[in-house]
Amino acid sequence: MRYTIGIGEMKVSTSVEDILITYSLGSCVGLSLYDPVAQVGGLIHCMLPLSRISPDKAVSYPARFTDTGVVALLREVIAAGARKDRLIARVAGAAKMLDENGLFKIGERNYTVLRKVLWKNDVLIRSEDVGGTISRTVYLEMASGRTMLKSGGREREL
Amino acid sequence: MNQRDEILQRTRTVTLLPNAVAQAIPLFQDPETPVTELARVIECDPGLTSNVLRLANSAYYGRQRSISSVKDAIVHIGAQSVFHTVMSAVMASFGDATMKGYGLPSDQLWEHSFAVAAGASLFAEELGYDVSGAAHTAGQLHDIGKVVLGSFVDVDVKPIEERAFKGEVSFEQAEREILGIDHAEVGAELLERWNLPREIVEAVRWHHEPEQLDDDHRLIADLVHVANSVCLIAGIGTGNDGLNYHMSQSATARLKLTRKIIEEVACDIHLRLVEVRSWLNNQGR
Repeated sequence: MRYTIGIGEMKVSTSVEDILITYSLGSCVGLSLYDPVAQVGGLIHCMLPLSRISPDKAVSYPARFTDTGVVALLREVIAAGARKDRLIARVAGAAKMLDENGLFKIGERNYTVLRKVLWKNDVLIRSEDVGGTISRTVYLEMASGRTMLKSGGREREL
Repeated sequence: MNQRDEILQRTRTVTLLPNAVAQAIPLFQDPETPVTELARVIECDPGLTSNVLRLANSAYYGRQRSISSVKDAIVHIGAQSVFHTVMSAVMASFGDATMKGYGLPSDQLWEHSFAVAAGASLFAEELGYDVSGAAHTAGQLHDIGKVVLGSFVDVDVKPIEERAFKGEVSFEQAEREILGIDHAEVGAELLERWNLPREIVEAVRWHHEPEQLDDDHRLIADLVHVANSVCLIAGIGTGNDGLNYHMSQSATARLKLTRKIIEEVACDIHLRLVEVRSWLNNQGR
């Protein structure tokens, strides 16, 4: 089955028949986690770096924020049978506008927070495609464990 | 004739505006227009009428009782909200007009327009400016020039994209270099012909460069500019043009924006989008 992960959403899968896809990552960050042994994977699309902007919303929508979202995704893939030391993490997004004002810097801050949370959890980033001014679409193919990246009409493995 | 003149001429022949909407625009701008008169013009168009009634009866407005006439809808949800529905119906009427060149499916353009409209009015409210209605309408219509360029003029966007991404110039700059005109100006020309108020026309014309307007006429353009920036960053309805636009350094300073306000509004825009999507899904759209 094909699942679309919207802004501020996440999905964990244990079925080889699933494809998890998220469209149009601007400054948001997309993270795919995959354990090839347990064949458990997950994908998240986080919008804003820190949940302190709206702590109550972080409770109902943890995936909206990078700090609470990445923790929640890690927890869910592990609950579904993945092991932290086998997780393959791939990251895309964190783009910016031209001359982006320092008040925003949402992409850059999303990426910094994401790295920090993964580092704290001893999960290494295997590959990434971040920054620039492009919009990106990412999908995790559970059958192969591959994470694919689409942008500007081109597609490649992330 | 050069391409700019050709595009402008083509824009003048675009008649996408339903008759009822054309009549409604000046009436809704005039606060003296009686409610019965507003209702009458909308009721001429069955599609518009059903949209207004659907919205008025939706959970979005938290209505408990049922509203069965346009007049009741205007009384209960306000003329301003009814006008938003009318303009939103204009954007939605491009249902099949996929922005071929811009790589933007029509529902994405609708979502982007909805989100920028919500953002511009939320920023206005949050910052205490009494212009949230005009900011909403300008936000809804800010990219209407893309519809004209993408569907009616059928421009080839490939060279524009290449110029933008390889030359590291903004997308609207690349449009100007290659077409002699950008989507913001095309949109403004169209809205001028539709007799929309000057403040909305100019906000659309300068939504990428609000500093081109003078101090007294810049507020709505500033609000649409920051709302558009938030939506591009959040990836709400971004096309092949991606985030390849300049952010105005002065707009954020003029509005005295803070990071907290920006991110709170971003959250609220997203929340409204989730609400309207679930409402539309329930309506079987």
